Amino acid sequence: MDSHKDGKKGLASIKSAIRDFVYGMAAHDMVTYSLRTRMHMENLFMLIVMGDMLGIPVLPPYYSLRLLPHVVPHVKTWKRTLLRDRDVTDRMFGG
Amino acid sequence: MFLKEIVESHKYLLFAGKGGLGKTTLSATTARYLASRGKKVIVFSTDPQASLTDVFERDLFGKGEVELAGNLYALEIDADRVVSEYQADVRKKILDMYGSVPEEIEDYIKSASAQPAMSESATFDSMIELIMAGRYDYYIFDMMPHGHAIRFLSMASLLDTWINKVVDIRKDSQEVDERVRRMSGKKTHGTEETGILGELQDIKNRLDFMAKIIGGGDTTALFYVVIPEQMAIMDTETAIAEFKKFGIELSGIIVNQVYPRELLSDPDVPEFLKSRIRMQQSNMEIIHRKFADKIVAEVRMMDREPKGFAMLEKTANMVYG
Amino acid sequence: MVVNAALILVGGIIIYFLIYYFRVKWVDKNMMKCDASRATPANVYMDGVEYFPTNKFVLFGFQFKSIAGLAPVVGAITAAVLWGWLPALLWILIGNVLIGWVQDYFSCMISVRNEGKSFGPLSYELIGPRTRNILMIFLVFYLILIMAAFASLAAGMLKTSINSIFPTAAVLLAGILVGLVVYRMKMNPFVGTAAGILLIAAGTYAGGFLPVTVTDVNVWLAVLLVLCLIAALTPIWSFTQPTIYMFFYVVFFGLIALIATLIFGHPEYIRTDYTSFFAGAAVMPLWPLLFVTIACGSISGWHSLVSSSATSKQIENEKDVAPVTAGSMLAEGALALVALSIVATLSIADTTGADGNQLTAAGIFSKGASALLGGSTMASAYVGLIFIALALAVMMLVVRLGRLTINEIGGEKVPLFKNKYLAAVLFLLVTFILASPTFGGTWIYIWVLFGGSNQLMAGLALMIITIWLLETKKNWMISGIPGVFMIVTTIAALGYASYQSLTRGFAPPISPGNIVAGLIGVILIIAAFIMCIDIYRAFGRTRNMKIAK
Repeated sequence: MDSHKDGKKGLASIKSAIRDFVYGMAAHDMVTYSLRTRMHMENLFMLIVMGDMLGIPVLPPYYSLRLLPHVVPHVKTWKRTLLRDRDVTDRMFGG
Repeated sequence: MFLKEIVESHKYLLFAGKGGLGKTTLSATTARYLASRGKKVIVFSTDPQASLTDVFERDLFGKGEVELAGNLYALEIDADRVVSEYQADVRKKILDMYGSVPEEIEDYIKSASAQPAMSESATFDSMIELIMAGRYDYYIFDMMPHGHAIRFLSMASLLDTWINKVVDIRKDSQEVDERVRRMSGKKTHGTEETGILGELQDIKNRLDFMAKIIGGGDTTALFYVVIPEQMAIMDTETAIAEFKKFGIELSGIIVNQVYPRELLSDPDVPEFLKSRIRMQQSNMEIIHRKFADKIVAEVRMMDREPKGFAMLEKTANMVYG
Repeated sequence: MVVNAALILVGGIIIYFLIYYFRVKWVDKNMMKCDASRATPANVYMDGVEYFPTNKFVLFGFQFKSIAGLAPVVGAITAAVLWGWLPALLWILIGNVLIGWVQDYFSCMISVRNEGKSFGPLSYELIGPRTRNILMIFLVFYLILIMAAFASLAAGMLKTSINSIFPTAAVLLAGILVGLVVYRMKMNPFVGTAAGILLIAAGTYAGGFLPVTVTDVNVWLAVLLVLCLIAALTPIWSFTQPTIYMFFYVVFFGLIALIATLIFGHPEYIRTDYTSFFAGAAVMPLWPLLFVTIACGSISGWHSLVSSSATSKQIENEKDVAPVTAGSMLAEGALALVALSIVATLSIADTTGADGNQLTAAGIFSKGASALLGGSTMASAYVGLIFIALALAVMMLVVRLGRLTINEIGGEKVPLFKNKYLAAVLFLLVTFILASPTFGGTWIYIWVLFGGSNQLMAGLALMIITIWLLETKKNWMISGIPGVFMIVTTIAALGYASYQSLTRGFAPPISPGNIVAGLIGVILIIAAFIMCIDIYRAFGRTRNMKIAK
């Protein structure tokens, strides 16, 4: 829904703005919430398979290494998300 | 049941016990005996301290499965080399997939490889590999001291729990993705599913296979080696309790390095040795009291360390008559 | 003074537009040096789940819905009943223009400039670790009090608006239906939405003929709280979210109809414009109480949490911050003006109940809005539904957040509080004690305490903003002066409300509701003083740092 509509002019852009606005009111909170839930699942998953990286060994490192090639692009985000200071004020919209 | 019958009727034979009690010799002896009966046998040392190379007087270290005589094979892996090859494999795979290895990933690979648990896992994995290939009639494993062995054996059940959990998480994630797509048309991008699940499934299959062999009973015999010394007896007691926790029953206890009782009545034997024999005798009583129904063999103390083929034949005759 | 509702509404919207185009844009451009080319956290930390760039119209809708609920409606009506519509109107206009948008805009902008951090972590970093705990205390009581205030109003509405029972049941069913259609049957959400809307229409139609009368408020309270308990303990996507999604359509259509009748029907403001400084049977002084009675619509601390919790992590471009946050806030001011118009077009006699007292905010909304929409039983059924939908939407989310907060802050000290069932039940139990007539709590004091906890969060947010502005060498007065005003006013209001609650609570017959409310007020005041000390120290520290540099 949140695609760019820069190319549109006049009536079409107003129409898409209204559509985005209504979607924003009606459903974006649900989407935000679901995505945050998804984030926590992803983090838990990463923690189980790669926890060793943060000094929390869950899987033996031998097997973590086997999975490593598949998670390389996500490691950075995951570490950042996990180490970020988070409290109730972050959890208002999910997770 | 006697040792001979148990050995002949089980495909996988595990010899465990404290270091320096003669596990390696017993493993080699058993291999020699079974091979002489026309069976294809391999003996594999998983104990980094033990050396089949010494017992067989032939360089086996890191040489793969070596044929020592008709039907008799031995394997002594170079765990460090296996680890470094494995590490190189992982790096190459990342390079192939992404074109470069990020620095922190590189660091992680290095630090993970340096952990002592790594070579243990590598050994364990080679053990699974060997069994899964299924080329032999008998597999004889000279196991590492029981702490490590237990960790090995428990790894299978532990991993199973985690892998099930991961599979559940993946399923839930897919449901959330579906929900988001329905509400917004957005595609979420988490970690790629199939590759990881495939790997996890493979790891699980291997461990399940191993768990079945270890806990299975019908095809596996686990022997614990003890000598008539107090320390060894205590160690055996804890080991039995710990194995039990994982649902593993010992198939038998082998009492090794027992001085012949007759020596006590031999006037030529010095008093020093006699008092040692008397101590062994009183420890033997303790062993019989504690493990009575488990004892499957008592092996006499040799006049020198058994080495080489000829000597092994002698011990085989002595143990398996 | 007799003015036309259309004039107030259109005039107010024009004022807000002017403020937006001159003041907000000026601050955005000259003071904050908003730069379209500066990468926002949504782009830098893009992970597709927490941080992701979102179109500004979507975000505007999201932000507006998250901040606008029942609170601006109830606040405006309550204040107009007490002091007349003029003080309420002035505070809605001036408060929003001088303070409201400032807080919402800066709390988002500061978060955007600080990696999308939320106000919890920001209060920790800019003021101190203790302040974050204080914020949590404000938050937990804010949640309890809003729950009690809304539960009481909604239960009253269910009791009196006898035609609204059927439509309320219909919308709950529609919510469950949409949930099933989208997640279980995996069908297109539009199918479910359309079916849900039809169901609500049918329910409203039926409600017009089939009144349901249950006169015991405790029964309705219990019904509402059980609904909330279900909402707190079931997966959010199965019941809470689809129900709130259907509530949205109820409110959206109702609001459009109300705005249209106010502008095209242009009724007159016939209510007394100003009553007296000390208003009502509860003797409420205009200062400080007006400024906590109307929070949302003028200034509300809750918004700072919304702006920094999710919105700042989705801002695509710095240029979107002003329209999304300040825009939403000013729009909420306009919503408060709609609510004000509903009460101001009724005379004092119109809003007097059978017992000679003024009706509750729920009763007045029901009466005023149904009159605007034609006065049929069906109109009254729908108006009651709007109110209940607005209340329940907040309550269903608040109970979940309340449970979470108790789990998190209570669980640290007492592991028992980590249990989600216990936390939810405990939360609802306190709500029930505060809201039930059996325990004799006084609604207006609960409302003032709720406003107080909210405005303490606003004061804290404004001071966090001030310290950040000081640190980055900007004009900190823009939030500093409003911040001090809000804190002083709120502490005074809380002092008054707690004193009144406690005196009433201990006067025979003893009313536990008032005592609990009064104690909450006392805790809030103590927490507020501790917060003041911490803010004062942080301010001095930051200024010394600046001089040292």
